Amino acid sequence: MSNSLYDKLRTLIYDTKQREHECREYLKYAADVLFRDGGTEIKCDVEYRGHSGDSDFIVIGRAHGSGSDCIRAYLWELKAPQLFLFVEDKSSANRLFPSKDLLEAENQLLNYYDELRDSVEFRSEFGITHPSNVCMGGIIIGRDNTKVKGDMEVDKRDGLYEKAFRCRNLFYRSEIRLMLWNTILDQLLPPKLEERG
Amino acid sequence: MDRATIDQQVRDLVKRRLLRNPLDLHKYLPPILLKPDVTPFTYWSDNYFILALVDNDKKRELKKNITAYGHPFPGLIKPEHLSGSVAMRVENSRNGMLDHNSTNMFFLSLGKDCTLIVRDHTQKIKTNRGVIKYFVDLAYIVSFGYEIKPYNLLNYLDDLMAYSLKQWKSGYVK
Repeated sequence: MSNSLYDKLRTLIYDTKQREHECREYLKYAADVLFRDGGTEIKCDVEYRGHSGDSDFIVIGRAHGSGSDCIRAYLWELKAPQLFLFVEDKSSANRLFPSKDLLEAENQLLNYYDELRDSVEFRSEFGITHPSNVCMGGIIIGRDNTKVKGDMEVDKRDGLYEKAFRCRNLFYRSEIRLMLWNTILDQLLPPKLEERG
Repeated sequence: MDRATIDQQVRDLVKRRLLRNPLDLHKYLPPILLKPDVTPFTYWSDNYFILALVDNDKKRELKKNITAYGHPFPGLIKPEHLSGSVAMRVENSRNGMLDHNSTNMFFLSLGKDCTLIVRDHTQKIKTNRGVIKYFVDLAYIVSFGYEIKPYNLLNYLDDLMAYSLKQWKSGYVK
């Protein structure tokens, strides 16, 4: 068990050094959760070059569109598991502020999405027939103990995180999924089959 | 967010992840997902949430169970206030797959922060109205706790559905 994909990724996620690029190698084993439909033939592509920069991670697969199958792509931005999602808002003790790293990732994702959905070159490279099949996946950042930076009681921290999470969803709805690296880790768990009773 | 809003989002998620998918995925899916009248059925308790995929007949059966026994799946999850034998205890367990089980006692003692997939499960349980027996084609169970709360339920459910698809496609679980 000590050499399993799960254990290797877990070591990287809880390392004190930032291991974003090494963690990225494990995303292909969790491609189903990153391709946000029920799909087949799911493949991954890293650092697709665009005019506004390199999109970190693209997941492409066969999905079902309006009445027929289609190829769809989901764009993801990656930040290290060691980074924080939210920080204390100095102007109010009762709310959090998105971390600089989260804001940077959101801005990158929005810009890559804006560019790639209209890029004929990008769509033809992957066989995507319509711009609406280029979709925002989300941002993978942080881990269970880096949700909030700041010295505060656990209950208060959890309450403020919940509020920040809800406020963010009001704005983005579920279009940009905010994902901790722990989600990727959970996808690497082996299936636990029980014996028949 | 109220439960009715979350229920609607769950229905959208089920459509996207499990029901509206390419034809070549069908061979991997549990038969219930391919039935023309398949529909999501949700049940909330203070401590957990169940999403079952059911046909019209099963939906009627579940509604009758709620009226008769106070729960759509009597015996599947042991209520905290009752004592009795339990087949399995789970706590802080993610992406558990419980397949092809059959039990005549409480099936699960459900702790906090669990996400489970129950498939092809036969449940038999003695009630104050006699012994009942039923079959669960496919159900996703999420228990609330320190990490999982109603506000982030949808994400955990999404992850659980993705995990089930991954395992079914791998052929590991038939």
